[in-house]
Amino acid sequence: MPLAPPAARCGRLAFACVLTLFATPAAAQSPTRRIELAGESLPGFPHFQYVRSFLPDNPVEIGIDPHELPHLVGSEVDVYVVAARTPLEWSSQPELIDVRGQPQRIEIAPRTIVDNRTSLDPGTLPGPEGQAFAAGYDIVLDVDLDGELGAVDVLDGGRGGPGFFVVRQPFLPGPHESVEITYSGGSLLAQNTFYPADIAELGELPLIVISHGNGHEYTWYDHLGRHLASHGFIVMSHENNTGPGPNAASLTTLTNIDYLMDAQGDIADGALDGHIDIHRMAWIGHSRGGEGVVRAYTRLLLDQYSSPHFDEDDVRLVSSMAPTVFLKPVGSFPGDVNYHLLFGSADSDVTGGADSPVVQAFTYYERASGAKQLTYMQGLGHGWMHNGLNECFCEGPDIVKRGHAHRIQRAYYLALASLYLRDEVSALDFFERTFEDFHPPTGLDTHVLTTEYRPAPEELFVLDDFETEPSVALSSAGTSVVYEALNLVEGRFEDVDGKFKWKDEWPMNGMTRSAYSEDSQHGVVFDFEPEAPATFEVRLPKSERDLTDDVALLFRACQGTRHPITDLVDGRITFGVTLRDTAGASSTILTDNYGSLTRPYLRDGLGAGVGWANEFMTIRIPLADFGRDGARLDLQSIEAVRFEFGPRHGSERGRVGLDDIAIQRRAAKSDVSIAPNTKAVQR
Amino acid sequence: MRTFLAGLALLGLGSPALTAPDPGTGPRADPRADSETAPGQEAVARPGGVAELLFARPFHLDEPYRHTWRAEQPLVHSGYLLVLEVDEGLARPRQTAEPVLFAGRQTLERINTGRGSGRLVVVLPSAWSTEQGFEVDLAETAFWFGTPALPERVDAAHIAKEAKLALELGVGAFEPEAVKQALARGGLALELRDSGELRRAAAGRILEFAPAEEELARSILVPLVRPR
Repeated sequence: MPLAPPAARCGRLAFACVLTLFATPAAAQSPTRRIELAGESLPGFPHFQYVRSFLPDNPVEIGIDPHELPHLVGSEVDVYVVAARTPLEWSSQPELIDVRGQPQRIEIAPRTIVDNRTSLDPGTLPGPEGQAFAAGYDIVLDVDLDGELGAVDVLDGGRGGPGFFVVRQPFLPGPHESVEITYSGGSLLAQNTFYPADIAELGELPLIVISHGNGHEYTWYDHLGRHLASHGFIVMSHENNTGPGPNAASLTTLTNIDYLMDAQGDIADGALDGHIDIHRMAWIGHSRGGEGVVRAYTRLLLDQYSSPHFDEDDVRLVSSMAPTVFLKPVGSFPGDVNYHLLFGSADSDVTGGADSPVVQAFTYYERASGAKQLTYMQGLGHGWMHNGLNECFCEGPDIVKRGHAHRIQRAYYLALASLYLRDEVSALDFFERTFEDFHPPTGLDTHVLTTEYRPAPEELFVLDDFETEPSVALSSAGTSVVYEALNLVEGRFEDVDGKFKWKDEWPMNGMTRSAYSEDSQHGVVFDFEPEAPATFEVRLPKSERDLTDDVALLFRACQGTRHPITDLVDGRITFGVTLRDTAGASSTILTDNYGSLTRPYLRDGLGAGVGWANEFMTIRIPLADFGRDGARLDLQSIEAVRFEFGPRHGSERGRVGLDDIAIQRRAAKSDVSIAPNTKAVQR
Repeated sequence: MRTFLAGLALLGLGSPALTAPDPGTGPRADPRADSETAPGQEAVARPGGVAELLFARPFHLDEPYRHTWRAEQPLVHSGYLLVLEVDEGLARPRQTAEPVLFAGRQTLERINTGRGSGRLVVVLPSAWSTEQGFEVDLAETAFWFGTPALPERVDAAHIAKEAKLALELGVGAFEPEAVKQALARGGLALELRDSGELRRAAAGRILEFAPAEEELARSILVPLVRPR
């Protein structure tokens, strides 16, 4: 269903759109109002964030900005939590049935959202049934207290998807018993395949292919195979020709898929026959195999491999676990496919060090031009990504145990598979939100992960990615950049001297994002101190100043490893982000509401000091949050985005890198697509 | 010979030239651009490290396959299935570039890793004719670990340079008697259909010579389903 253009009917703030949704007589007379309601309290402004998904056992709140519903201030309304319904279902079945047993009466207070934050559920709402990733719920403010959804009521849900989701605990097994089989089609065609025992009743299922690394075995990924099969996926881990190199490995990835398709009638007595949905594939590779799956996808893009069964459009996701980077971008790039990188800071094989391009795995994340996400875990070693040898291939402090590493893998790969192979947008929260904000239980509270995320290019307006304009004073969008910062340098994200020891003459220390000269990722680095706070402001082009129809502001930032200031801070860093309109009004949000920049992993080596590669984190702030509580900010006429560092906005001092400042637009796709902002488009 | 080669590996003997980047990659603008050497690998970038030939069995295939362990990827119709006693540290698998295992003017295809045993089961391709037998004479062939690189990038010119370096260090062939014993242990030539059967034969040798890698051998010997 295409999205209706809401802007025409939106007021000054796009998140308070009024839409005609329902065909019931009452609704037809007057539209039901749809706004965001479900979310979580924040400690500071904007005091509340509307979210798409909740983990099981986590409390669910609603927040009502009285400036959005001024006509209801002082009124009592009944709040209903209802099993999610489609618009058609709502129009045919308007009666309200609260899944908690009974609705909750609240009075809408004046002034701020702080006075209108209410707990809906302490974490008892049922999760999904069957193999679904999440259960959907709608929220209704029954304004006329008549127990039915009507014209005067307010809805979070309906068109565009449920008001919110309760996702399953993603590291836990799914509802299906899994079957494991091992067989071979000949040389380098041995396979370890997993599928649901009740596959005969499940129709076609997406296929997940796993390509192992060098010296690894195809039987070492059963922790992923069993888990994903229990959730209704077919998983095939295959013999991989990694010894010669990733180019050879890429070919075995492809030939093994063709063999599986050819032989499905004979494998496991034909249990898979007709059940493999070859048009919904995910490829996961580890180390040389992690590079191999990218190369395999590139072969399809460059017509260097032809399959009778599939082409590049059938690959929905490519994920590399700690990939090597032997190949230069001309022959190995993820293109526009959805891409994911899982990497660990304690890896002693693909080390992530500055001393060799082969180990700079972040480079593959940078090469991806489609929707992409990165999961980077401090203390994770190379060997714990498989289930074979009892050797972690790790160096550094606070090493993550194998069981915890596998829990993270199970959780994030189920989320990825659900998102990209089943279009379950509820899983996007694991990638779009920071780890601090939203994550599955890792087994230890002290685990540190950073996540990066970037939607597909068609959903972005890039303000400054530092790629096209070498001048600091000019953004990628061609607008002016105004800054006040110590030691600011714009340049290539490459650690030139190959060591992590800090030297003043190498400002891009710790940046391992451009392994080869053909890889060209740029950004900016600078310092701030208590007596010298920093600002970095990017102007918006006149044609792009109306943000009422847009969704969020995104950027990524990191601390600079082994820099004296980083060592002095010895902790996380926060700062402020401001939107300013053309009339001079502004609104500032502190990043600690969403996440904070980690100190790079305390690993030594590669020169004096402690600290490994710089750990970027994407922070995504919904644009509507800047206008919370009647903030005098005109989203129709935003002049600039400004980043503010210093005591007034968070940490007193820091050494930071900043990159990829962009506005996330409304998805042009339908609400059943994997567009990441299905929830957000309701705003 | 055995003692000398083992000494090379154990003593870390090697010339500075042997730690140079892949000689086939040409001049580099970026000092790191073409390096395949990962941290800490300089210590193993030397020839030698092949201590003993334990087993040798000739084979012939009905269907040839591509030797993907060198850049030219020649077709393999015949050759030797070998078991080598090696320096386990040099054979240790890693994701970054590993020391390439050479035999004369050829790269070897490794079937196992030598983990826990220091014994590698390898395939040495060699042309064969009824008139002249095998082109490669094991008694005249040197075996050694060369500079770390990806085998799929190693071509004839690269091998020639590595062979020259190895020769300078005195790497040579095994004693004829050792080769004779290995061939005797191997027995008659295997007549096989294809590379799949060759790998299964190799898996048998893993079970025999490198039992610590039984899991790998068993993973090769899984039941065949509609072989290609």
